[in-house]
Amino acid sequence: MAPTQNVPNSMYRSTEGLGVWEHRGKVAAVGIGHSPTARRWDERVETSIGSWAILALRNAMEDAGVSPDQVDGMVVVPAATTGDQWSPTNSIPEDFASTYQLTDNLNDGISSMSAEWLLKNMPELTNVNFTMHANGCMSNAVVTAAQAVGDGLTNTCLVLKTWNNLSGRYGHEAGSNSLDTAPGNAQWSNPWGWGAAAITFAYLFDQYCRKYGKNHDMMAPFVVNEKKNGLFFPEGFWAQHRPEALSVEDYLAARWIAKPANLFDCDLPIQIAVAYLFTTSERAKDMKQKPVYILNHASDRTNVKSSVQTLQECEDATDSVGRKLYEGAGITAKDLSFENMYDGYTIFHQFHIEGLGYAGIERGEALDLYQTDITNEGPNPVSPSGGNAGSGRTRTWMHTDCIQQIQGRAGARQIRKPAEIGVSGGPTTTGGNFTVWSSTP
Amino acid sequence: MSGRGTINGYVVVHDSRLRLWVPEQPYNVAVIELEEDPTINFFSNLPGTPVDKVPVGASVQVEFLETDGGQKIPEWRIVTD
Repeated sequence: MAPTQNVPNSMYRSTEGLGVWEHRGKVAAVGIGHSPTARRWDERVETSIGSWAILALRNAMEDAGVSPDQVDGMVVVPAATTGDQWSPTNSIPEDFASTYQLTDNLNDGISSMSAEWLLKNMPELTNVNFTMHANGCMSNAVVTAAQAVGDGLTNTCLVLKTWNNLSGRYGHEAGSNSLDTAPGNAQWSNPWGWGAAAITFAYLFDQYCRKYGKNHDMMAPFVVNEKKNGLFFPEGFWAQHRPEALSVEDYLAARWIAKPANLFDCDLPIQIAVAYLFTTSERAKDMKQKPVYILNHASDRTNVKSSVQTLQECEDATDSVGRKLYEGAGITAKDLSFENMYDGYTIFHQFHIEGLGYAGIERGEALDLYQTDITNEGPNPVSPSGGNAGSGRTRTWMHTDCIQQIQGRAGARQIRKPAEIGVSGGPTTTGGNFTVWSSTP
Repeated sequence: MSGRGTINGYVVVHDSRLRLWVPEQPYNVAVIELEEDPTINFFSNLPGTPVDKVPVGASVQVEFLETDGGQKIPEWRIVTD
């Protein structure tokens, strides 16, 4: 098989005016597979992201009622962290090297993940003839797999995202963060201490509050609800390891990371693998779980003009995503039963849902919505998954929850009103990928 | 270029990932809009401005600080007159 290619730009729907998606309702998600979670990798082979990727993929196939030989495609996110990679000066743990077949990239299966590594180590996948690498996060892999199935490049496709978290403070050794000098693009930010995404989004949130007369305290009901929803996500880190409720008082008393972003506005990096199984709507009828139909996918490819994204760029990008999603799906904001837009950092969720016009809100009104009933029992569920804030940094909970809500398998998180159409995607306010899910084609 | 700009907004960093900045915490980092084109931005620590006492909207003037290695980096100081 030829080496796996990155997704070509032609597969993304990143401009307005494309009309209804040509594969609207013809692609479905059926199976879900999760690994366990851990705060950090303990360097045992059985808890590596390689082992957990295999486990998640097998769980997704079993969940869908699909045998491995029926799978003919795989879309994988090769990047397994936004933090630290396994150091090239560290040798690969001996038991890992003796358990698995390695690739030319010695990080494979430890702090990155390729389709090649998976095919070498999952001999049961005998008929995979389509693989593709989607950069960044599961949102990218989801839209890629949807387009690939729709285009007929694959009929039964596994979709995988892994996330590793090594020992040490997350990201402190990544890139130029620990260096005495600032090479490349870092020369335009590091000399002033502008060194993490939290700062960018804290700045944008501050701009937002100044423009619309809002304040950080108004975030409390949203973040508390996120944490509550996360505790109802049995696949999530907090539910499994630290079932601690968060109160409004806890949130307001939390230490600042980059004011106005506090500790609970930031998600907790964890170790995990998550997989889905996509197929055609026709094929999905014969599978074990109820099909969740994909009505559209859309992407943003905004080029930020200067050193930092401006509020205007952020709002223009998220407005455009809303228009693209609705246009391609042939729906309006009123058709959304719920939304699962990205939340990792909590302080940019409002940009996404205002762009959608979710629950009738306009620009500057999301934090007002947060003061109303946004629970899963209420009329306007906001992020019923609980997102990264509720279950740990994966950028996957939003998609898993959309599938589970529409399948009626969200358990204690199941929204009270009928879960007919949901939307998910991210990660950030520019450059993300988004999907509309539906109970009917 | 006039070398003048406006403070558009700021963040106070309390927990930096940048090793060399950890001893400076908490510190201001502001976004400066250029007078000639406000869509062109620079970062600044606003020398002389107390932490979290940043006057958003104030005018600033560029100055160039020399690093130990002899490099010059732009910084911005609040114009008081």
